[in-house]
Amino acid sequence: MKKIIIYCLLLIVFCSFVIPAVRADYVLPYPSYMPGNKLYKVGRVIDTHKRFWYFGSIAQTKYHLGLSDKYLVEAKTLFEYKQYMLGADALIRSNNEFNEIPHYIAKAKESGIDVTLLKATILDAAKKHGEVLSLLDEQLPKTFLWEPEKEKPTELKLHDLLTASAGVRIKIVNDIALF
Amino acid sequence: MKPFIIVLYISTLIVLTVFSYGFIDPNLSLSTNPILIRFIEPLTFLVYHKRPIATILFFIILIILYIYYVLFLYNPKYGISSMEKLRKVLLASATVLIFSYPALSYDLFNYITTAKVLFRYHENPYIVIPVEIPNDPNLLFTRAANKTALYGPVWLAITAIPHYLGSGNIWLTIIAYKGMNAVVFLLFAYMVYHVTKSITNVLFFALNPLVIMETLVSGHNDIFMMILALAGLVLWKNKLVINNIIGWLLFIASWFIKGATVVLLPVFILRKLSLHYSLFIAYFLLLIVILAIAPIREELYPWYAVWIVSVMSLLPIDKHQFLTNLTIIFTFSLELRHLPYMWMGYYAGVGPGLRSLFIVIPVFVYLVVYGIIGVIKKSS
Repeated sequence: MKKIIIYCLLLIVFCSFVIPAVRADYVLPYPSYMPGNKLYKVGRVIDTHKRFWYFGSIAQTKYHLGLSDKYLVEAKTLFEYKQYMLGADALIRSNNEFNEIPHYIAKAKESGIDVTLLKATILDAAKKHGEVLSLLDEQLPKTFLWEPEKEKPTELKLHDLLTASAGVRIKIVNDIALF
Repeated sequence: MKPFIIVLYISTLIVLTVFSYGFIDPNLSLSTNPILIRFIEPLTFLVYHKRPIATILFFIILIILYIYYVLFLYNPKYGISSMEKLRKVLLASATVLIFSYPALSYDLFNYITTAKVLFRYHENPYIVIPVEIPNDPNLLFTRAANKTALYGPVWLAITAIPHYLGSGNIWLTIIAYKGMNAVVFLLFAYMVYHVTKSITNVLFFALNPLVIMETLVSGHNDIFMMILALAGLVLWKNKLVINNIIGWLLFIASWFIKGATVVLLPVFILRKLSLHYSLFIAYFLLLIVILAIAPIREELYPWYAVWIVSVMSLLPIDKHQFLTNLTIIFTFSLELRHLPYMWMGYYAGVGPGLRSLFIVIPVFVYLVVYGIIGVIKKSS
């Protein structure tokens, strides 16, 4: 827990030097369909195929950030309902989407676009994600043993996952600060 | 037709072209040529610092253009008797006005910047707004840069032509857009002649000052939507199946320019209606959109009248004298809507009230006069 708080504080301090903060608070979306809902799978298919509509570096950045936000909210909701396995899966997806962002910011910069605003948005998002992750770390058990009836039990290291997720955000913010 | 009238008419268009450069956005630099700058400076001073005088000048130009219009349309003495002569007049008009500045609206700059988002930065303009590319120089003189693309994909595809022809130079790009508008304007005029075989109908469309101002000066894209929709309708009424298919395709393509022509769906579905009645219904359907729906969405913009003028130009004008005159008066009153902003420099205050009055008064006066004349005729 302390680690995550320190990470988040470091992130905020570091970023406040890099990018001037003159924007409104970053807002995460409302939770969408959750696993178990009939439309959940449809939503996931649409999410995947929306990438073709979001062509272009800025649009791709928005696409991946949007999905990262969406899956983080999904993870938070699932964790709150003690659906740890599904929540962990959603959080990993959120991390993966966040990981895609620097590539597209670099591409945007290569094509001559001033990426200052884009970087600022990612920083805001990372801060917000950090807040959610640290809150979850406070609320969730450090580990959880998932014991399905007919399968082998799985130990979920929730604290490690949350710490790693915060680390992903910090790494990305550090990476894009260099652009 | 007396040649000096034509010379005077073209001269008025040249004056309009020169005058239009006074409206250059203060943040836009078209050229670094000192001669050109010296030429433009007094014009911008007039428009931005002597607003009442500039407004009166614009009003005078507008009145002169409407006088020519009515003369050419109704007075056989000044009438253009052959298509050959008319072609020359239209070519000369279009050529002169291609070089005018889009004085009365910023929409052309929205088209240019949206096309740039797509073709220069390869971003989806329905997702990415121009202000998300903060270092783009077009932001200095583009309004509505905080909106995603406002028009359909067919229009975006068309804008590739002027975008690449302009090759990054803003002035060349403006001229390329205007050139494209001029080509479609001339094509529409040709279509009117082809369908109606009437020079009067071509004159009604192509010399209408609102059509000239909004299509050739301001460079609005409404004419693209209308040429596709009306060419589609004409082909749909044709006997050949292949023409019918092309007609529908053109009609659907028109939806994806601006969307207003969706309301013409009934006239396409009611196949048995003659072209005449289809156009007649189309006129009223579009008029409903202009008067009822468009003001709810934003406001009643003058260039929407291009829709009804283009439909009217395909109808037998002599059989619809009342509607023809009403359309002319309506276009005149809509052009007057430019005056309050030109005079004051802002949209708020008394502007909206004045703009509404400018529409209501001329139309109301026409209806009263028409009614009185009707009563006198009946009684005599």
